[in-house]
Amino acid sequence: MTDSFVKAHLYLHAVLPQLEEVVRVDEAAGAVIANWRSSIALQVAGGPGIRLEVAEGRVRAVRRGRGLPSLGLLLASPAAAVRMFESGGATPLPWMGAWRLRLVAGLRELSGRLQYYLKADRERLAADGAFTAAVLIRLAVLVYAVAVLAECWEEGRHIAAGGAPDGVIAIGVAGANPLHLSNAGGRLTAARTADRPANVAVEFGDASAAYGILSGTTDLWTAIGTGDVRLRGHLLMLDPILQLMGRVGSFL
Amino acid sequence: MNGQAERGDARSGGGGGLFRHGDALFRRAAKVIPRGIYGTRGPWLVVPGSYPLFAARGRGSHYWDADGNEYIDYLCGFGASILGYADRTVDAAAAAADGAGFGFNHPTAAMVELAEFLTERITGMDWALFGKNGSDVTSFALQVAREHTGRRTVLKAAGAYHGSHPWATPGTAGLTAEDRAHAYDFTWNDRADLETLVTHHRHDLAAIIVTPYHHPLFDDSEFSEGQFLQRLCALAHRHGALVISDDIRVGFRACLDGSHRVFDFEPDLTCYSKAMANGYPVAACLGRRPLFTAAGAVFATGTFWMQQGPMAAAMACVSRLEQIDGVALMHQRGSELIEGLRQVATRHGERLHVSGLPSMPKVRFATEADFIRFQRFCAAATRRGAYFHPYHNWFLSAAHSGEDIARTVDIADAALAEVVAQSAE
Repeated sequence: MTDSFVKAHLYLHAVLPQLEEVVRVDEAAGAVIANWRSSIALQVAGGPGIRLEVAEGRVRAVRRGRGLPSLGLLLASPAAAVRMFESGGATPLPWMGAWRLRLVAGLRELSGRLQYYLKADRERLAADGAFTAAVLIRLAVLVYAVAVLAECWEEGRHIAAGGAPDGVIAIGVAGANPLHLSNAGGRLTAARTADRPANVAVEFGDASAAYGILSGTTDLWTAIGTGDVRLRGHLLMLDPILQLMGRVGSFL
Repeated sequence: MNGQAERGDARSGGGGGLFRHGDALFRRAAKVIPRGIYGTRGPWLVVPGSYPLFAARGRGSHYWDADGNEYIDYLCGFGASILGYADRTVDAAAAAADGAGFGFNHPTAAMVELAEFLTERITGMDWALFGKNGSDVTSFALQVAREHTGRRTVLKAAGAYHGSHPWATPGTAGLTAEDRAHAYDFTWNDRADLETLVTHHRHDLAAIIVTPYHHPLFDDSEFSEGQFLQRLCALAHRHGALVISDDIRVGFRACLDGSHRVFDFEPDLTCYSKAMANGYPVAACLGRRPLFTAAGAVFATGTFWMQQGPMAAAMACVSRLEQIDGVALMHQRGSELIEGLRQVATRHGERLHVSGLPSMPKVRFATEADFIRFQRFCAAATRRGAYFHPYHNWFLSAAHSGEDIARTVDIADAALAEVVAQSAE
């Protein structure tokens, strides 16, 4: 299992699903898909796939879609997928719907807006009034990435199977809906909602506190001590989650 | 109790400035010390804003934090304070011993005296060797077992804590797979699991390390059931392996002659620290005569391991516990506390689940498994002046008085009322 394989999974299953939120909070992105009723499939040969179902001004990211997509894109390998996401150094081959130029152009624009929320610096985000939204999207990438590492990375699977109790872990910023990770026997699933109350919660006091952790400028353990990060509930459940969170940075 | 009334009333749900100095100290610490406070004393295991992070002084069953807030203490320095803080007898013995100077080229007579003192008392043990912390002596005991048997494998109960050294630490950072290559976990009280593991490793099994009863962090404490410990010893010995009793947490709270006597099993090596010297830094590994040579073969040393003050403190501490029947006292106070808390819980429509010895009870709400309300309860009680840890087993000391217990029960009543009111909102 190569780094590229794991990274390709991270880009497709932790990063791209955040388009769901980007089109919700970003006016320009929302306008791009306002009248779409389409699905876009991105498949990595020998790696992961994702389907973006777009309808009624919303995006839903699923691993498998039904029927043929409106636009189907194929990347030759996990390494090519990584090159595409990291440097634009690879181009996906359209195997379906290449003539739908509006989708191709729109997808490029959505990708740009996602990049903005993931990469723009704090000052620019603050000036644009997008700081909190960007932090929540970056936090979501981290949470989804934890589930991906537990699934696709050998060491991650080992960490996840380390014997932490099953349950639901809520991770969020005070005042915003938390994200959820469900652990069932070492299988982690990330989602925006949970079907039962969380057993343990990690809550950042505000977006600034979360940004500090996400950008590596604040130490998590210090933030816990200062009350900028609050832990509640069955902390043992957090053990593999925190370990995996600590590893995300070596891939993304 | 200074300031207790205001503390109780003013702070439902937050510290509200209770810990101003402590918080400032933590911010300073975080700049120069990894995590600010590392290990189990760090803030991650409690509720920042409701718990103090720094202590200033202690006396008996009470201590004061860096802001001068006073607590009736039910963690007792993670078990180390067994006679209460600043016990005059123990402190005087330590001061007298160290007053003659310490850090010599050699041990002093105190080391010989403590070895004689302990081997006279701890059932079945013939020799002793000293370190500073529990991890020093659990690791030493394992080395002795490996040296004696010529084997590598050690078995331990899943969730049991046997120290912070690489083979045992619950942490993961900075370790290699080889660090734990020969350590395997079995499920406490699961005979079949243990037998399977022993059978699989029988040709390389050096030791099984156990606590006198299972007291994992987060989970309930469990006594040996169905002669589990006795069968464990028989199984180990049948296959030529040794049994190590990690008596570091339970030691001197179940009895003064080795908890294996009370829990009726026969270890080959036993380990003590924590309460042995009422908080002074000393740890001991004791063993049976046939292991004497192997113990001598293992290289064991530390610059401070032979300091006489803590050794004198250990003798004074255990002697004092003998004089006052400290074990019975802690058992009684623990039972009173649990009974009082049960009544409070019932009054508020809650049920407590209590496991372990009354002198070190593991408490949680019976109606939840994730500690969320229990954590709120412990935080509310701590803000009001009764230090309850939400996840770790609690500890009683011989200094806890009937008045402490009565006051604690009152605090628990108010704390639980706060939690119930929050839940109703």
